[in-house]
Amino acid sequence: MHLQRVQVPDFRVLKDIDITFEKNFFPRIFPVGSLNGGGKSTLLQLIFILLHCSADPSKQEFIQNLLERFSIPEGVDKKILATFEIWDGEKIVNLEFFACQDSYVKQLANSAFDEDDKDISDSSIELTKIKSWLHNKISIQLKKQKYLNLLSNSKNPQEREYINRWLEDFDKKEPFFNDLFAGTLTNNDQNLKYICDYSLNLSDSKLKLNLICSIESNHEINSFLQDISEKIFLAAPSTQVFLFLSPEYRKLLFQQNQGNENYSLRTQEAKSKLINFYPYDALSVDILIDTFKRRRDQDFEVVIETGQYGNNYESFLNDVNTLLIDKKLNITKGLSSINFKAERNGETIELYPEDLSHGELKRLSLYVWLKYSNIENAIILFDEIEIALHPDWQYKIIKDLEEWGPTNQYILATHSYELCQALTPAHVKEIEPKLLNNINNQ
Amino acid sequence: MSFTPPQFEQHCQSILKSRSIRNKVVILCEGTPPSIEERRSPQSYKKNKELPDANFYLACVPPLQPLPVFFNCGGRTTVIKTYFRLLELCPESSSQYYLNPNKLFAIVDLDNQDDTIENYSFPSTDAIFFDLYQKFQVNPQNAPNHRIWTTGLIHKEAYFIIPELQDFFDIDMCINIPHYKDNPISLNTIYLDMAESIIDDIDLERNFEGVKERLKDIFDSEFNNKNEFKKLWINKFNATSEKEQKDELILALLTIKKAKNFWKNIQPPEDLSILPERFQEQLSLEIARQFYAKQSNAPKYHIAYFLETVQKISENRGTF
Repeated sequence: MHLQRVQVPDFRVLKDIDITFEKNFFPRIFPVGSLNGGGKSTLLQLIFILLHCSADPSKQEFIQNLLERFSIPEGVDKKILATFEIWDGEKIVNLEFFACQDSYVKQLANSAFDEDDKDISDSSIELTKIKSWLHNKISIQLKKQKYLNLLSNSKNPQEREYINRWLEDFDKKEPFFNDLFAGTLTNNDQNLKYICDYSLNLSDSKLKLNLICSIESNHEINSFLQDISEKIFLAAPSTQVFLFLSPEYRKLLFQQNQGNENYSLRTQEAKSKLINFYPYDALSVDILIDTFKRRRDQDFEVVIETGQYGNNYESFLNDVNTLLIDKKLNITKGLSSINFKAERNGETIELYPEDLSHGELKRLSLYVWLKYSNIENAIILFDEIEIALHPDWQYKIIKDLEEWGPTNQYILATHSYELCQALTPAHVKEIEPKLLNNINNQ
Repeated sequence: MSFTPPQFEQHCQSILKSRSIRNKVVILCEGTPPSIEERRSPQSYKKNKELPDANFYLACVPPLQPLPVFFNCGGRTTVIKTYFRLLELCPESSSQYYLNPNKLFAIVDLDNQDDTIENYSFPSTDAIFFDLYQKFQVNPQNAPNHRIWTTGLIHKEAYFIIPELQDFFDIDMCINIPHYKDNPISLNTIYLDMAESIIDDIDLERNFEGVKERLKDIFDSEFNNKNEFKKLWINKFNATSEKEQKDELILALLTIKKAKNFWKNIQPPEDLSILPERFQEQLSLEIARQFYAKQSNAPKYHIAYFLETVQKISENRGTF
């Protein structure tokens, strides 16, 4: 997979963004620079959340958080959020994500289905019947309103009982209706997928909008969104402001830790749902320990098959120790912590955390994450990869990435000149500051 | 690019005051200098119209060696002038600047025209070359005496087409194999084209008496002018099948015949949609990283030997 082009007309600080990442460049590593607050991190998060979460309804909350301020101008029923041009290895796939009003969804739905209006007298409340009523989101909501009105006026006990049962059932099944709606709107001819609705968090209004994705390709949209969701990754410092967390959680960054209510925990919670999200600190011990455990298990599988233990654990240990050069990493017996040792004047001594540089530990974590998570043929978005790295290592990280995951594309939001020097000027992309006139107009 | 006197002073000051050079080997080289006013950032790097010369040399540094800091200083004369001005401004005892004079070096293209150097242990660029190289290899005994190096081939682009790179193009670059004259690259074809074009080379004609001396290791006085040399070279090249002799002939050619225009004719393969200029600069970085940075420091690899030598010199004599 290769993200060839991203366009974002107007999302938060991002205005008129149109960046091309040439698939024929080598290496496929692209630094993206901007002024502070220029929108590098926002861009990476937007790309990641749209491409990683759109296939999976259980991840909708992240899209909804991200879009809480993405409004549509009055009188307009559709606004483009982002378009992507993705090379799938054989051909280009164009995705367009747009927000729209309910009225626009209704038009889409009407053009997608035959009218099949069922009457209230239909006593069945089986799902199949409801499905046939569910021409679109508007009609079902209107129907609900109609029933509520009827209920308040009706004196007929039979009718009242029926309506109450309908409403009770509707409430229970509403989330499922939404999924069903999303599924039925997805139509091969139209190549559309209803992703989710979202609430605008504006001080003067409470509006619900819808997010829809369209595809231009002979791919089936669901299967492509599923494929791309597995191939897009975001690695970012764990202290970064993640716009896909809820506003309440983001505010925790500015608050004292209060027991379980802290930003780091919320980020970890998000990580458990967003499997391709890697919030990193200088040293991510978890990833090292998990990899040790996985390699141990792989050795055990080999012994079951062949009668002899495999060498996965040992080769992993040798591999990381080669990277560390003059230090040795090992894991404690309980597999709950790691330690570092070094030879000094003929003696083996244990090193304390302060004996290791941040950059060294970060490099180790990135190496293990990329090399031992089977991340291949993927699009990896890195936010501020240079943090904690010595300028020499900022330069060398390009070569490292090329060696550690040669089949991947890397997009690096960065302030580092040193890092860029390892590539050609044409590799470097820029989010340009907007002219004052544009800002004033906005 | 040439500096006005105030710009030149500003250029030198910007090097001296650059924090990135603290405890580092500093190497001045040719290439368009960056804008002095602009802060170093991805955005300022992107503004370069082409890959700065320094970045090729930087990419040649072996992975485990500390990185020197390169500065593009303009043309050859300005590089040399900058070297001496920095020494003047920053005596060894200076605590005002980040530069350690013992860690300051320069590398310039050999070119065909000799350039005189005043008040230096070697009076000219040719004199440096003849002391530094012998039979197309660095002379290890003399190398530690040099702070200003010339390239061992005529200029940087000649290092992109040395004979050993044929395997690199065929094997390492097999997916994106470079093309020359609509065919997968054949360095021998390029060498023959270079030799053929000697006849039209005014720069070579003007300086031929001087550069003849560079060829003395493999040619006796068998020619009197560039046209005779061309015929002789082509005859010998076609007649020789022995690899070592052929490589010497090629290196002799790359010592006097400019390769830049031939490098510019390297094209991406037909199915690779990329501008030739972009392809060439990306290829040059790959050559640096995948080939030169992985070579031993044997004297036949001029750049690797240079990078290791300056590192060694600076470690032995560094005062920080």
